Amino acid sequence: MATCRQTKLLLGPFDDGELEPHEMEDVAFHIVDCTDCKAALDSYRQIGVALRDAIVVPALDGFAQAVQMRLESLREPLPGRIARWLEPLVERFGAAAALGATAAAAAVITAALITPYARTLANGKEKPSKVVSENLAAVTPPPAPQASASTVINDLSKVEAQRPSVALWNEPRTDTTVIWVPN
Amino acid sequence: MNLSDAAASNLLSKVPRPEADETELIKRARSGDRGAFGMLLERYQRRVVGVAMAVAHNQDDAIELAQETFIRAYENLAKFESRSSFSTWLYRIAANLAIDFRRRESRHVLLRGEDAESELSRLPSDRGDSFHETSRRELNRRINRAVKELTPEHRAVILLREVEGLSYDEISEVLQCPRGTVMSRLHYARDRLRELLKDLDEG
Repeated sequence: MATCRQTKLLLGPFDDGELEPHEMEDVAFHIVDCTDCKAALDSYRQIGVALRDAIVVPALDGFAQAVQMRLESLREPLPGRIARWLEPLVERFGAAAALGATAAAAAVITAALITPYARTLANGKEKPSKVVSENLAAVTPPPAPQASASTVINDLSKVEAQRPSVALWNEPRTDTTVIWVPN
Repeated sequence: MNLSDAAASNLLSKVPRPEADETELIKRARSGDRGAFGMLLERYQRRVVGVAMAVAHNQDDAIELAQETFIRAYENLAKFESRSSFSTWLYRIAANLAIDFRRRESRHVLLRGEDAESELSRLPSDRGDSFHETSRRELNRRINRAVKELTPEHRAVILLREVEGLSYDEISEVLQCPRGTVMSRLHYARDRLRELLKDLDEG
């Protein structure tokens, strides 16, 4: 069992409910049998009650208003100032900006869809090359294996000149040449 | 009458959650909403004045310090992190201001020769009061005098605990001292008050 000396140190925290459960139990058991410690605990409690009664917090009439008045004279915090600054701009230009952005997005999508490059991408890169080689075979004899790229281009240009219905389009970035030939 | 689970949960969902509400108020106050800050001010003004009184132990000064606490809090809301609760953060500002004030004032008090009686002299006179009222007032006067006998550190700890009802952890955070120090100061303050008010206890 805990001694009075040990227990007296714990009486306050015991009354405040700030001890570990096993300590609470030890103090509770001790004060059942110890009149001195029980008396000390009672007087701590009485002091607490007396303090709450004697220490009076002053009336707060007008306190909040006084603080609010002082706040009025202060500069607003930075995030608030930025928000307030942006507010009229958003109100004024917000609708126009939204409309413009929508129109721009629609224009980009439309341009992408009607561009041959985009169609090429959509159909796959291999397909046009295959068409080229098939149709080219029908129009001209196959070039000699040693023929250079410029020779082929020259041949194709000749074909284009001879037959106005043939169209030629060269895409150097992807090293692709597309020829439209009527069936 | 038993409520169905759905009805019960519906009712529960309508119970205001102070923490959530407070977080929202702090967020709004941070973006410059003075009305939201006003609600926080209304909510905590009593406790902040109480904390300032516990440390400064003077009503007029406590009011001034509490006002200054809210001004500082408003200016520094952006720095508030949710590691501690908003109330503890406010109390800490109040306690720091009161400690600084007390340090500055201690020199002036010595020069002016003020003592506990000056504060107590403001209490209304006993004329026309019942015997019970008079003895109660006398008791309060004795207690105030005993509290004044404590060192500022012991006084702050016991008033924060007994009058403001702060937990040991809150006191530790507000006064920025270890929990063990809070416990030992409280023990000393209680023992000292018990000794100073011994005759009341015996009576």
